[in-house]
Amino acid sequence: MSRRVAGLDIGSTATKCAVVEGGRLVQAVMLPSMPDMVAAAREALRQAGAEALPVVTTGYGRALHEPRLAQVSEITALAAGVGALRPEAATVVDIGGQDSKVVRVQGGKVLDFAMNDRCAAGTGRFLEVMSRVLNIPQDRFDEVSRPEVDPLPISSTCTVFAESEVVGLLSRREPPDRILKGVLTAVCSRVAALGRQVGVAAPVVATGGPARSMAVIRALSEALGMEVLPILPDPQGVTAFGAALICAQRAGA
Amino acid sequence: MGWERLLEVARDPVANIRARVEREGRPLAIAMSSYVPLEVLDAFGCSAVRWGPVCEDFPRADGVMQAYACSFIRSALEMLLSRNLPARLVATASGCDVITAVPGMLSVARPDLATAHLRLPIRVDGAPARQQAVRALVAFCEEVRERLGAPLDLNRLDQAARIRQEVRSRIAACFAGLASGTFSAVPAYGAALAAQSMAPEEWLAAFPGASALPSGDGVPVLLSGETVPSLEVIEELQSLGLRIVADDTNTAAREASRRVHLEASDLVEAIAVSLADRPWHSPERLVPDRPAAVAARAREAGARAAILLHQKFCDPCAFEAPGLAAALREVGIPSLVLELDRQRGLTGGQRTRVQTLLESLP
Amino acid sequence: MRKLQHNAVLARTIRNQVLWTRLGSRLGLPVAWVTSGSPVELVLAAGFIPFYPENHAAICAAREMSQGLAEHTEGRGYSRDLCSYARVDLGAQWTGRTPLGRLVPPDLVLVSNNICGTVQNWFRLTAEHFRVPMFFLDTPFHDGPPTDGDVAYVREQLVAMAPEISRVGWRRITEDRLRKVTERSREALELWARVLETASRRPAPFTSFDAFVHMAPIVSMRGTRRCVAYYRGLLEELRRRADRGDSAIPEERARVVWDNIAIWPAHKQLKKLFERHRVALVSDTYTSAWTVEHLDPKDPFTGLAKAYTDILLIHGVAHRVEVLTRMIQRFGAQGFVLHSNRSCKRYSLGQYGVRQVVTARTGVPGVVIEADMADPRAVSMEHLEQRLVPFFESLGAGT
Repeated sequence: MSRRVAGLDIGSTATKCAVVEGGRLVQAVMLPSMPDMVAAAREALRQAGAEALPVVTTGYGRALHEPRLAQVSEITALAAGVGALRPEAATVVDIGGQDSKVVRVQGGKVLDFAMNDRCAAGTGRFLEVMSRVLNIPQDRFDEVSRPEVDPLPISSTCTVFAESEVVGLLSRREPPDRILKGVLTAVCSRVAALGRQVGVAAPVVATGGPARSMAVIRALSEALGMEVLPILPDPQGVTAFGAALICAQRAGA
Repeated sequence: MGWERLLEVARDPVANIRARVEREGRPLAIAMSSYVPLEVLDAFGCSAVRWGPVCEDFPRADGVMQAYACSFIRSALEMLLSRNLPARLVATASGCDVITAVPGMLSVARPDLATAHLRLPIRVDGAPARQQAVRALVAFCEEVRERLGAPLDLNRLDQAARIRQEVRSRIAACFAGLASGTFSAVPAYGAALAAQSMAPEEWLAAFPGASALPSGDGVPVLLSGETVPSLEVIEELQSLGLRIVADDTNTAAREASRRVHLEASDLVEAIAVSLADRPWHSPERLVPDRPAAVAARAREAGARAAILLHQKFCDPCAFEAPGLAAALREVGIPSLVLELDRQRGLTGGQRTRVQTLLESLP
Repeated sequence: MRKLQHNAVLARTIRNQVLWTRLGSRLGLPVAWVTSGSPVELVLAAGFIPFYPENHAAICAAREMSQGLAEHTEGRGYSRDLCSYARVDLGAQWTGRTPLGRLVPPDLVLVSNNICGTVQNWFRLTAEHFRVPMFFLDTPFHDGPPTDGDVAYVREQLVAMAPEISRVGWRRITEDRLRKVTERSREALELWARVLETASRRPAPFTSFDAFVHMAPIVSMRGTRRCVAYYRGLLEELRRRADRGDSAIPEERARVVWDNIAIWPAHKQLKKLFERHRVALVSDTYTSAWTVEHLDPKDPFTGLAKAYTDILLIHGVAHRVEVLTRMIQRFGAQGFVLHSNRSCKRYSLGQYGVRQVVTARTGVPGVVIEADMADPRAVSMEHLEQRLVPFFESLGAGT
């Protein structure tokens, strides 16, 4: 017997809801989490038509939503989602809004993981700050940071230092496309550093908002020294999907 | 009285210290290391306390010291500079480079405050180290005497050493109860944290005994690290589904493991030796087999995972972590390093990591 | 402004030292990895070739290899907040990557905590990696002169480790051998002190930027004849320069002194920045960190015990204030720069107070700059310029 269940990923920047039936995604919704995470969660469920369904919550705000069948950490949910979408993947790189993680996975389960502790370098937050300084919106990264552009090295990884470094480069009239490429390289080298803690094994897939950008994917591949494939079309929805799969399992659906 | 009182003190040490100083009317001496023997400060007629991180913002401390020091020291400096407590003496001990730098910084920022530094050896092996520990403690007593203008009262020392030892052994018994399941973590850590700031007599009067508080469910874990910043951290870890069955923190089991030979003819010497011979040392001392010993204790207590609770910028912790994790892994125990910085509880990301660790256990 | 001829001599000397180390090791001579503050005279007397991991890390940083090596170490779970020398050097040990071509493995490591509490952890990992014994000299921290008890404790350890070290080495440490080595150490240290002293001449024929580089032999060849010969030559050259009025920088307009280790990843840029602003860095606490007065060929063990319990970093704030005050006066400095070195807590914490007191005592202003000795990711040239340029301008210097 197969029935519908939901996964709800209440992230620090976006709230995602996935509805699955028979292991297939039938509905996906994404909303900004702010200013009210609880309201965003409720709204996401409503828009996905999942208000009456069993739900497993995950993400930063996973404990905020009631009622729920269970709550799991976003790393466990991410692994479950990737396990279904890319069963061959051995490593997942997730660049989130506040934190990034590198997860070694096998058959939808977590083998080992590393996650940044507090420092914004190597997260979406760093990209956000730099996008503002450079005045290049994130959805234009691919257009600006083309493969043939030669990156200017950004040596500092501390967000504050790097910001003043970028300002310094701009004031010296260095081309913004080269600076942006340098910024992406710097972020990805931080993510790669996380990866070294668990050991990155191929095949590698990437999730999280920034994984939508091919420029980010290229920089990531270069930093890790191996090919990275984004999970498209919705790299940000994988965790909610994984939570829904866990829900199906627990609900016996 | 009883647990309520101990937990109340554990939750708000500053209020308790303030009330205590008012009540006792003695000079307040603050020890900034578990290697400062509080009984000695008692015997100088002080209200002696040990200090954990109590505040999360350090505007004054940041004017005196760079931000790349652990929040434990930054918090302590902040409290001293804000004159939030009527401290008379700050006692430090050789061990980490940051604590060692504190008296110098205070000499500029708060020259009115007396400081004394216990120059304990880093080695803890053999006779020369023990001898040096004795010389260091004698010099420390001399320094305190000079700074406070009060003599060391030997009768009082005898009494203080006994009662402090009693406190330590009762705390040790609480932690021994964690493994057998006869005792639960919140009161155990509450007792240890309260002992840092209460008068030992009052602590003993309030302590109801280390029995009949069975622990709840949860995955059995080892908790290691320097300073347990607050009871909230313990409660948070429990709420995530952990049950602490073994402790290796400086706040609790490590400090409580110290034993003074009370019948010794020279008590100062015996106290110095007890510091060098502490069974469970901190990683700042040169103890070669610490990781293996901790792993063995974790295994014995039936831990299935380990949480290494570290202060960010604590070098001895950071150097030890990978080796400790490897030693634990070798006995089949996965572990997680949680780095605390200017916070008394866990961050969202840290809760996620703990939960993932539990969810990924076989 | 004329280049030091000894830059070429130094390059040759270091190259020979590297080759000698490699050759000696291949010939079967034992190698000791030692900290910069350890009593190297002991291992020299036992016939070891010493190797200095701190020095090696600095070379890695100057040759732009440090980031990759540090990242390797971080990948093994070691925090980025740890000392960058340790991270770089452990990375080199574990990967075998080094600008020297090849690392000569140690037969023992010799460590003293007189420079910091980090080295005992770092060298323990080294000893474990190479499966060799670690000898540890515990030196008590103090803010006054070392007490008799301290000296006794340190001497006792030296005497106890001497036969153990002899056993790993190829000859016994005798008082006689120790005396010879100590005498050479003392001589080199004296020459080095005179070399540094030449910067008190106006204009300065030599700056700390030169000293940061020319200190290599005093760190890593102390106790050898070659080291003595090197500094004799360097001293001669500097005296000639001073007599001729040759300046290390064009038109010296201000003189400042420095506290803490060099910023290796930005060494060249920083040197240029000082030159551009006509500021001579005339002295520093880093290259003058050793004292010579205690080394005593008559009673080598006691002399060593005293000398190694009285180096700069074993002391606290009060001592640093003394040293900087004296230096400012002696070298006629108009300002001082405190490098707040994220990697070195022992060296850096307390600098805010030091700055305050030194200024009160000398009337000379100081500036604190945030950087790191070997991790380029924690060094921002923009930040350094933002801090230093206004400071230089306030001293009447500028481009």
